[in-house]
Amino acid sequence: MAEKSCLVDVEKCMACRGCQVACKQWNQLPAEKTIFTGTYENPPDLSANTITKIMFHEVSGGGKLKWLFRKAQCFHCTDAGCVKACPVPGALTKMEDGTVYLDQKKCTGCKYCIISCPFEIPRWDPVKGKASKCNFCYDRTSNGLTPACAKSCPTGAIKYGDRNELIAYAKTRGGYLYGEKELGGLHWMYLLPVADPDLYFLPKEPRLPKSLVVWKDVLKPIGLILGGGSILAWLGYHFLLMPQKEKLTKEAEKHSS
Amino acid sequence: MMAVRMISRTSVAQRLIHWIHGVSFVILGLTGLALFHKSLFGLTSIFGGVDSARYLHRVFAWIFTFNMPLFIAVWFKDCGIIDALDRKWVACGMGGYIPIKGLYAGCPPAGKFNAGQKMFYWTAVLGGILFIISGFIMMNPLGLVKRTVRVAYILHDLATICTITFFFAHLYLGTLGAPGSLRAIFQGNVDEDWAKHHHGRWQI
Repeated sequence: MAEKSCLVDVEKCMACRGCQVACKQWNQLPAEKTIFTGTYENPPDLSANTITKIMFHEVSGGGKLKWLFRKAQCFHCTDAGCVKACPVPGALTKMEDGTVYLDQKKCTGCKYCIISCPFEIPRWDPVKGKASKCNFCYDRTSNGLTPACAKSCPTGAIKYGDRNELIAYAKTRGGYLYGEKELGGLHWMYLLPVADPDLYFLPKEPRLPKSLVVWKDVLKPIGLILGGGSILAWLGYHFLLMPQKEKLTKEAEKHSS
Repeated sequence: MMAVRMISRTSVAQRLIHWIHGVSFVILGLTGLALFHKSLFGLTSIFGGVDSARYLHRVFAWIFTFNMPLFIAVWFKDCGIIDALDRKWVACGMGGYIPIKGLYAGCPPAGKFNAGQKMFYWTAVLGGILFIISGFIMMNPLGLVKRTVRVAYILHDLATICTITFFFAHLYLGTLGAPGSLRAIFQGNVDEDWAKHHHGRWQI
């Protein structure tokens, strides 16, 4: 099955935030009580109930003011930290189309994913006792529909389609494509006008945390080998070495008494 | 036939606190191992699912934690002090448990508890303290620096690996490996011959 992605052309985004509303509507998420912090950016951060939002950045320079907008949501990484961290089979799954799907029915609320995501995307829902994040409208895409946010976008800033086709298209446009290779390839990519991810609050070289890799790929296999091995070792000891030990200590006792 | 004299070996307090520690450890171990690796996730069915397993883990974590200072105190005199003769016992192949004839010659008898048992005491104590600190961080991770929590995951797993591999030794040596030992931690006494054979230096 071909991998699907979204490509966000940030220069086309006008921060209408129809995507925020469409996402809430489709996923039946409640609105959030918030306060005015001096910007139209609202809410100030992602949360369990706000799984996508537009980030605003005012940048002044050269006598000009730029007002930059960047849609934030789960990046649906190929090498996802959340999937690596999750201890429950089937709670966080990489789907064939590239979606990283969080099944809240299976989630046990351990928060390993929240702690392990290099983009700090999954959030804690204290009411449900589960993690929460964008699921790429998998219930729509698996039925041939476009994600709600992409469908709602009035400027066409969000394009949904075949990942390879979107990459090829992005390359014809010039500019800087973010997400082609990061973390094995992101399924939410960004077409930036300049090679400056920082301007759009995108980490330049996102990586899985070293501690996560050491924990899961080094320490746990060692643990399984040592644990399983020690059970076998004691069985072997009992049948192979214990008779020798008995001989040794009984002989010494005979000589000393 | 003359009956063998029974020697008192462990106090009621030592046994009670050991069993609270041991039962907690087994339940914590099984519920914890279920999340240690996806291949072991099936262990959750013993407890009625992953959510119940995690709940039990958190309940027994508190029991284990409050019992820990009692455990440290009540076993310290017997198992906490390692002396020169203990080191010799280790050097001659763990008192012969690693049967190497050349090493065993001149091996000193073990005291009331041998060096292996003392090493296990310290493994259980230090491992237990590591579990408690890392576990508490893992129970309340939000608001902490994320890397600190990831280090806690690593330390919790390190404590798991160290204590559980040593635990298998403890299980084996307390039962099959040294017959006559088990009653020391149940009835609290052992027979005189067992005491003289396994712990020659113990002033009974």
